[in-house]
Amino acid sequence: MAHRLPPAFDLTPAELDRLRALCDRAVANISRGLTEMFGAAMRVTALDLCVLPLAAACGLLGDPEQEIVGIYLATEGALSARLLLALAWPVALQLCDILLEQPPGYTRAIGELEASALGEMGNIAGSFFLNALSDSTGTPLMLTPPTLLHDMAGAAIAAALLDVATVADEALIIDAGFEHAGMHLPAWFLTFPRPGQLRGLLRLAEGMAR
Amino acid sequence: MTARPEVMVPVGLGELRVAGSEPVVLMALGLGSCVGVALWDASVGIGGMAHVVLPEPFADNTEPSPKFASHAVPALVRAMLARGSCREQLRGVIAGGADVLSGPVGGLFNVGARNVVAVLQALQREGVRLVAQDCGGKHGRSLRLVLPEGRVAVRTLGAEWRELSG
Repeated sequence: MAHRLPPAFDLTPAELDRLRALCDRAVANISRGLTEMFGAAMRVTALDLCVLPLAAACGLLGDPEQEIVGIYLATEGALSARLLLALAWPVALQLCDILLEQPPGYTRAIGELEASALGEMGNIAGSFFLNALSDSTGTPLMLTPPTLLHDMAGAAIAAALLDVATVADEALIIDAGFEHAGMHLPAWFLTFPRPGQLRGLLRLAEGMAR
Repeated sequence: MTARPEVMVPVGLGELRVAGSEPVVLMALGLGSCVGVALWDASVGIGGMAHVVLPEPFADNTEPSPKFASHAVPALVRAMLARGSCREQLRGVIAGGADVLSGPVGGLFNVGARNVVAVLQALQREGVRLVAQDCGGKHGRSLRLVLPEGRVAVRTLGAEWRELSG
């Protein structure tokens, strides 16, 4: 007899609120890391936690065919999650100008140097996110090296969702947007945690708070 | 007389759609390691598309889902036969299965290539004739099926639609 897939994200509203607070702190820490990297304030403009059916996930950034640069990372330890820092193509070029101290409009393509700078940015975002989660839960969380991809948004999101798709038909998505020097950046920091680990993570955070 | 506007129907991750008799464009957009499977029966103008995410479930007792190649292809064929298609008339085109990230993706090795193999095997088991495929490589692509004509095309980032069958 076929069994239904387990309810993927059966968190209570109270647990979701606690998870949101945990992520809020972690995402704020990304701002701190990127602010240090950019030497100018980088602010989180939005944080959203939502559960989406897999079928809708590829449209998460709008058009699934939108050209993006994605910085893909994975976590190891108590939380197995895939992280994707997605940048609209013009924003990726703009950020390369800033990171490599070039005049605006200078970067036209992503070569080795630009890829390395963007990878480092993703690494910092991921590390600061995980460090905050580690501090809140008292659990070491490790990050894999960044992988850069320049592709359609749908292809990048699907790659980050594969792990979740093996066990669930829904994905819990932690989505943050950024602002730099008063300018909104069409950039998204997406986290796709594997189901079943979130309650354990919340328990650890609760234990640390006591 | 003016032509009726085409209705665009997106086929999302792990979805399966069948349409026919009215002008419809089925589209799987931004396929990376996923494989889009387009089937049509030109004799009745019925077509369908599946957006396959994984080759097969890890556990035997997993509920059937069109996100798996091993479930999606038979389900798509069944749905088309139920709408009046004839198995012998079914034609197929597949696209996707790229290796968008080098190394393991989500802990899965070569998932794009494995998706392609699983889809081809399932099509063979179902006796569907494959007329074209555009698979592999390092980049994502989109697949569209224009009905009732059964015209299939793919496009990659920044490129125009390229017809695979007519």
